[in-house]
Amino acid sequence: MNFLSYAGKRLLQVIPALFGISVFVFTLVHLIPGDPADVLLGQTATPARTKLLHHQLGIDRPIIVQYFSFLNHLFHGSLGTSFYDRTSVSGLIAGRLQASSFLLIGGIVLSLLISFPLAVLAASKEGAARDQIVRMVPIIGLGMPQVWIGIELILLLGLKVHLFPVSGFGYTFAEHVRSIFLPSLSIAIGLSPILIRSLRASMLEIWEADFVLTARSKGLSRIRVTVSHVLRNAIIASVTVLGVNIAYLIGSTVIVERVFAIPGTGSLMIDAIGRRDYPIVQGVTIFFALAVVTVNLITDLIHAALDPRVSL
Amino acid sequence: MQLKKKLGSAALVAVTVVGALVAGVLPAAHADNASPKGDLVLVRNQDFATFDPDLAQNDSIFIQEQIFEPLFMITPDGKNVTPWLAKSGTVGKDKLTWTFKLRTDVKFSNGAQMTSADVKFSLDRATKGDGWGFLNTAIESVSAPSADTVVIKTNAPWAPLLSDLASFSNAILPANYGGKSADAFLKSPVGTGPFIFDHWTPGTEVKMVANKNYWQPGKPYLNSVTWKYVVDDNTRDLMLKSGQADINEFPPATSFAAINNTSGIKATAFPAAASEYIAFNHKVPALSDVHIRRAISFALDRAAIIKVVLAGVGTVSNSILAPNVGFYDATTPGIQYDMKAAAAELAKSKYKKNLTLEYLASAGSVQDQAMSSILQASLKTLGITLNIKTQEPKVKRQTQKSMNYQLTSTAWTMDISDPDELMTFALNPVEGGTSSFYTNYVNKSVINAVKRAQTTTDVAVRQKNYSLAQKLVAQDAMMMFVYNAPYIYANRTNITGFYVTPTLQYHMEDVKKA
Repeated sequence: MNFLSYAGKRLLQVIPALFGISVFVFTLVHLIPGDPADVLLGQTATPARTKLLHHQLGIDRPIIVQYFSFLNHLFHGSLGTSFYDRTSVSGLIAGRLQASSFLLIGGIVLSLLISFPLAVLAASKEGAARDQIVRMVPIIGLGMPQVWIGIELILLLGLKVHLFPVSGFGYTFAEHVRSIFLPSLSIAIGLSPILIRSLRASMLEIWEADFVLTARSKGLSRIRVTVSHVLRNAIIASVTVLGVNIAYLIGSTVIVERVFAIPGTGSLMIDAIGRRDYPIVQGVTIFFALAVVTVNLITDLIHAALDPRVSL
Repeated sequence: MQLKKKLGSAALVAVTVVGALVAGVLPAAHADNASPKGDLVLVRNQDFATFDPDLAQNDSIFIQEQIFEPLFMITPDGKNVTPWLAKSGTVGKDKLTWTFKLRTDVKFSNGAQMTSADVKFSLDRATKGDGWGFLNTAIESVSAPSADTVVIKTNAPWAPLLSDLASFSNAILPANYGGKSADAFLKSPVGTGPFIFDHWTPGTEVKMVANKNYWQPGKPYLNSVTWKYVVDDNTRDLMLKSGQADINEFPPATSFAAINNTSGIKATAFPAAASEYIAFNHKVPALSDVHIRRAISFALDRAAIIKVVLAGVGTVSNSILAPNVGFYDATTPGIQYDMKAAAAELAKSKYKKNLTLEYLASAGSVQDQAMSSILQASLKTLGITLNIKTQEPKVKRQTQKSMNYQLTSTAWTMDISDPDELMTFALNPVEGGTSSFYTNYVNKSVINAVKRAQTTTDVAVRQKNYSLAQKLVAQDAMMMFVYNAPYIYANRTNITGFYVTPTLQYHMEDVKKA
């Protein structure tokens, strides 16, 4: 019951947050100079044709009227219609969600696959050569821009070895998985250093804890102590780090999406900003906000489930 | 191309346009198309937006043209038109009544026969359009007296009519959208073109497959064409190299040599009816002085700009019209780089001392960066300070349109084969609707010359007037004519038959993949 009550309270907190975001985003989008009609009509647009299109798009109305119209649509479950291709924003986001989800999940899975073994290896003997080598990984990983990592991966594994397609998302599930490997790896190389550092530090700290000493004095093997006692407790801190970074990744995979031509929500957002397609920018931002809040909520709940000391 | 009979200049419309069928080079009847083969992928940095011809920009035009076709087609040199869905066009003695005979072997991809009712519906729709309807301002009425005859009445003698009819915006759609709503039709369009719409995934790709009912026997050669949206220049390049793509649309000019040094791919520079300019705002007091405009024009080192921006793949411009546009006059005295002449012009101006101007540049544009900094350095030696202000591209265009700038870059790509569209847009401040390309330039002699060229069908008279307009505009230094760049494409070497016209028509029906 405590758990449900906590989840309910957290969900209620989302409402004012989303309202604040909607006001902020709406205001910000309309403050950006530029005109959607100009993008749609092109160079030959006369002032008369531009004025007519402003009216058709409803952007000649007072800003407050436009905002309440946007809110009205939102309460009715609609994010509006794109100025550019005249289709539903919800539909456009849904269409891009699959690619973004693949990318995000792929990036997280590969990050964990890289981070866990390396962190455990490093923490197994502090100061040893293996620890020193693993500690270099965060420095190198954080120092490489994702664009550069992406292009290098394409050149090596896509163009020279022909193991993976150099870009795109494919049409079938198998093609999606194959297409998403390089961009996911590109994300993982950026994310893993943070996880490695966090997990290694937590493990080293826990190795010094009394309960670990007790477990070792009972004669438990080093592997069992590491897996059952040290790693399990160290994960608690890493879950929070991972959660924060997933929230960050939701809105920041756009560079990877651009380099690998992945049709995800980040690309949708960037294109919409360039075209001054206000409904899409507003819709995607609201969606991102909701996704970030949800990820944070899930992170807190997992944290609580892993650590009984965390009070709900 | 099997329809190679040219009409000569668009101005030749005063006489009967004899269809190529008469000349025996056009297919006489529909024949079973050979089995198309090969799936072609073209990568581009523009995302397709719409199948509505009235709202199409470059992101959508080339794709639409594979599905919809017009009555006349722009010839490969970009300067003329040739019959396409029409067999011929004849203008009456009143110079206002045009009679068009349609091909009788043209079917829409759904198997329905194309008739004059479809043509009337399409032209009426286009004329009413908010987007490109202005091209049809001369059309007073369209009627369909018989299934294969269409009559168009113009409100004045109108030389560019056939060129206007060759525009993508005047493409032929089924009457009443084939019984569908406009929205439903435009989501799954049907046309007479070589390809049939297959699917469109916004932000990703548009795919089309061969139209086996296509009226040109044996074409198209390809089984399908997929237009993929890939923003990043490097990614498009890598896709081409890896074989994931067959054609790369508009790779950077600076990669031209590198592409041609890579085995399996090649780059081609197709002649373009396009021009790059630097515009002056003539409402700015100093820039209303022709001597200042001429001095600045003389100070622009165009060759240096071409070297930096285009890696040498381009030519210095001398006229408001590009060399690949009909009625371009090579003898136009367009101002070229000459610092002595610049100093002499400046000496004639009352603004010669302590002049400070501002160049509005587009953020992230290599071209703007080069043009502004090269001009800035030259003007400094003349004692003119040029400040460079940078704005995000869309914001910059808005600033330009609201005419809150002093100098800025601008460009033009011809949409039709006749120069009328550009000349009216850029030189007639009222009828063009944009205060002369957003420059506030007014010269009554130029306006009259353009008007005379527009309403006469005599080729010699049109040339004389367009030459006069080009000369006056160059002497006035209305804008700085900077360069004419070609359209650059890269393709895998197993692709043959690919070309684009100077007005950017893609004839994908002629492309083969080995």
